[in-house]
Amino acid sequence: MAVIAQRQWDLLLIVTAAPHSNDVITTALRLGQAALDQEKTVRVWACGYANMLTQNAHGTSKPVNTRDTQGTYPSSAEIVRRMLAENPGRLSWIACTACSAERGATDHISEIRYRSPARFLSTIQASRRTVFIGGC
Amino acid sequence: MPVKRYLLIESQGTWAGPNAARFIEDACVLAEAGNEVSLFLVQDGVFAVADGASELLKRLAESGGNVLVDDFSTAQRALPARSLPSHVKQVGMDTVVQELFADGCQVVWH
Amino acid sequence: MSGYRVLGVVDRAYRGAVEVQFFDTLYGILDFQQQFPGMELALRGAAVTLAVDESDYQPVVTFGTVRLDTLPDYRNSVRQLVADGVPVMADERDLAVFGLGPDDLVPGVRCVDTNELAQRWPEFDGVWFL
Repeated sequence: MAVIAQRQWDLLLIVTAAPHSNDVITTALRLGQAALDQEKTVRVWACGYANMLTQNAHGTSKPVNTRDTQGTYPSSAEIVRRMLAENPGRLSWIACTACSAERGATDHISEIRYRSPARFLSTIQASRRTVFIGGC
Repeated sequence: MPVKRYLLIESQGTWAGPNAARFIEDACVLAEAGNEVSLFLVQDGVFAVADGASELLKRLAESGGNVLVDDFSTAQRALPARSLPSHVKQVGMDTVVQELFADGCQVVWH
Repeated sequence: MSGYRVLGVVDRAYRGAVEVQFFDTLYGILDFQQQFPGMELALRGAAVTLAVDESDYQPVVTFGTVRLDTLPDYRNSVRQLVADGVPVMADERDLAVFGLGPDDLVPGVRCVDTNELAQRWPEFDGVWFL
């Protein structure tokens, strides 16, 4: 019988805290990038309102800044998309299907992988290090 | 009990309530039990260097714990490096990654 | 023009950076000035640090080649509020926690006891903790 070995990742960031509540998303992205800079592989598992970050509804830009109408302000979805594009096979972003459904945030950008919470433990076990960032 | 290595990350800060200080106290207890402990203050957690939790940070350092504070968060919050006590080390996220991947390290985020 | 007067109190700051950029609480006050021309702003708690006059912080973060230089620029927003004539106050006791005082504030920001400010609440149609 063939045995399929599960890929091991270096770092799993489980982000259950909400954007726009504190600077947790910024910290998580900085931590993930710092790990990528040290040749680690990184996965993000978004729970709760963290699933709002990667919604198609954001488009590529934030709403117009009325005090700087010519300014360019990339949306969170666009920032995640660019980071994923820059790190193929080394950075992955997972949307928890249950949390996405519960928060009405099921329309993720195409780069996002959907995963059932039934695979939560196996995802943790496939990572050398897991950081659980609470706040859901 | 076997000695373990911990990286504790405090992100909330004492202005959000008493639980940040309780978490820093967890770090003290771990260190006093002989574990290797690094405490990384980030986001509003950096305010601990300047408020009621500062005595706990000193206690942690005296117990052999490593007190680290995020350079980006301190700049964001207008806390200049010169205002940091000597037992607190300002670091970048690269240092946190090195701590995180040190042998046997377990990370706990608050 | 509306005569609806609001005292805005900010006692929770730093509520997002990458996802927020310009769209923070201070932007809300800047953007609502036409509707609420008599608005005043009090900073309390850790939010007093929003009004510290410094220029070390750069609102920039880099993710690989993705450079985001549009993070919230707190002190600049406070400077804009002052320039627009919005009264901005920072709490004296909370500043003292950080070893700071009136001389550390963005010019034009007043250092006050924001509890004493409660005596002025009857002047306002709304007192909003933002």
